[in-house]
Amino acid sequence: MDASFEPGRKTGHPFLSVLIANRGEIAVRIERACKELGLRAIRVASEADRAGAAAPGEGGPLSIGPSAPTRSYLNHAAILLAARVTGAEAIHPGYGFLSENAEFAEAVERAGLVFVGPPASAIRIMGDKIAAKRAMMAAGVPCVPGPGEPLPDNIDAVRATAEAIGYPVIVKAAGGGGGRGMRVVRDGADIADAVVITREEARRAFGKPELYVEKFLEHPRHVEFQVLCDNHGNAVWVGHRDCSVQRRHQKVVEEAPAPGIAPELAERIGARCAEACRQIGYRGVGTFEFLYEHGEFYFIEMNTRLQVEHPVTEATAGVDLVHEQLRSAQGDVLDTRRFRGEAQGHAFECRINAEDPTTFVAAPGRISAVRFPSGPGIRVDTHISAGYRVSPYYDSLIAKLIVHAPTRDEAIRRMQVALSETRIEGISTNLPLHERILADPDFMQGCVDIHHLEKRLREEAGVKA
Amino acid sequence: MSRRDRSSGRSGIGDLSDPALISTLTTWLGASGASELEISTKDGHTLKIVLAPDASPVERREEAQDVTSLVPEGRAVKAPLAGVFRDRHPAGSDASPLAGEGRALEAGDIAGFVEVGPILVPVIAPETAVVAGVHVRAGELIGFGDPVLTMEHAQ
Repeated sequence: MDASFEPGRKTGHPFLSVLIANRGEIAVRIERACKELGLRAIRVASEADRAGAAAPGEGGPLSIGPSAPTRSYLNHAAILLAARVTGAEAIHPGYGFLSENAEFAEAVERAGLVFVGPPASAIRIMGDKIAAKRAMMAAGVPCVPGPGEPLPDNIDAVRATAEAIGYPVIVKAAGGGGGRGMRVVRDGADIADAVVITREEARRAFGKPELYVEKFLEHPRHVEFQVLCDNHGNAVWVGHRDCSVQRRHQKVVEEAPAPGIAPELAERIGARCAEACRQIGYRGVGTFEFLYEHGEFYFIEMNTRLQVEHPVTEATAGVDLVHEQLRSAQGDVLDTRRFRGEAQGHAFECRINAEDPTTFVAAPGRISAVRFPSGPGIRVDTHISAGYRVSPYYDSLIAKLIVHAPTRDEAIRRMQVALSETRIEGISTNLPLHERILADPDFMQGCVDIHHLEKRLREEAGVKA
Repeated sequence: MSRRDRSSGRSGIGDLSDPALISTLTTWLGASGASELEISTKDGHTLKIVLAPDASPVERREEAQDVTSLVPEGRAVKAPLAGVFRDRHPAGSDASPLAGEGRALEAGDIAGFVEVGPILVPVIAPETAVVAGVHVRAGELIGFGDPVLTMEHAQ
């Protein structure tokens, strides 16, 4: 049977106009892609973002609501009304906001418009941790080892489960969270005590004694696979990225390809991600996030949208992911032969945020002067210019600096120079943090784990104190 | 693959007593910042939705601030949602705009409409005053919060 008739799969169809339901650099990025494909791009904005812009009739964005995101960029009705009044035929959600909202995707399709993204059914599966893990296991995608169900009371059965997983394991309260109600066990001799104590804690703190156990990863890296799918059952992986440089689970610097991953292993994992997409009737672009440790991948979650860090894959895979996204939404057939998963050169992205470089507190305000770098292998995705006012209402990301070079070392050098040429005045930014990261010997060597940046920041704070 | 016919989804507004429709319209009304809407169909059915007062005090405060920042003199009357500005009811027989420059309006008077598909949301004069300026032309696309007209008290 033709894959396009699988349940939940939307067919997609041609359109000539796209409403961009987002703001900031990604709205600029999508608008550019629309124009390149000859599509009419329709920008919308909240009152805060609209201030000072041209009138809608003169190419400016259409104001759809007050500054608070819940009343503008997250307001389904306001966006659908704007689509109607502007004659938009498709809606691109960008990332964040409504991009992974299955109800919104459904409402868009119900209004007779095309949602530039996967079918609501696929968003739903991937939004549910248990359903997602089940779908991944069915497609042979490796997950964090563990039974995925509550531990039995019988301690011998618990011991057998832990041994089957292999130490170290982590015993977690099913109702826990935020680092509470969990205990790492490195040796079989400690498992019985750990279970008794954690169960008692769970009972008292969360009112639920259920525990579960899974493999504990001590120093994992964050490695993710980019996939691309059409409406006709074709799916392909187009590269991997390393996003281990994080602070409080927020990615700071990303690179492609992830260094030190054996090509055969990448091919195996990438192929399984593509297979999972075929099985759930996926459409458009998507990202499978993994923890990677000791040569093994463990699935964490799938992002059913375009990622902030997509440009590093675009640079190294020679693909325009937003073009591909729009084409698949139009029902075009994906030519999978164009993608071999081999990276051309190396790329980095630095996320430039309007924030204090030491306290990381958001620093909104008016930008008095801006200078971005230029030259071969340099790309800047941004919406700011001199005079721009960074609003306190939204994410502090103001620009993405992306470099591409033949080798990782050359790309690092290129980024160092590019950062040194970048000037943003009038507000605080995290540019000094990026300069420190790009000069960190461990980072320069590659393969740092997800705890590295925070550890380094703690060390620096300790030295100062 | 046949191209989906979208025109059917866009023509008419359907059964005015449909709870789903009323719910959607109420959401839109809340989103628009307006307090009431009224829809009449060609076959004589009318639906009127009025939001309870003080349903959203926070939103009101936000708007009050924005008015002063956008139009320093006089009082701006702003668009309650994004749509096409109509200076009179499309089905009415008014020969002139409801709020031409120099016209005196009373608080609660309809000064124009914002049209989105089958919906017409009135732009209401917030106080009794004279129209000092009209900032949009009939048929022009306007956004939420865009100033439609400025009102001043007669000297």
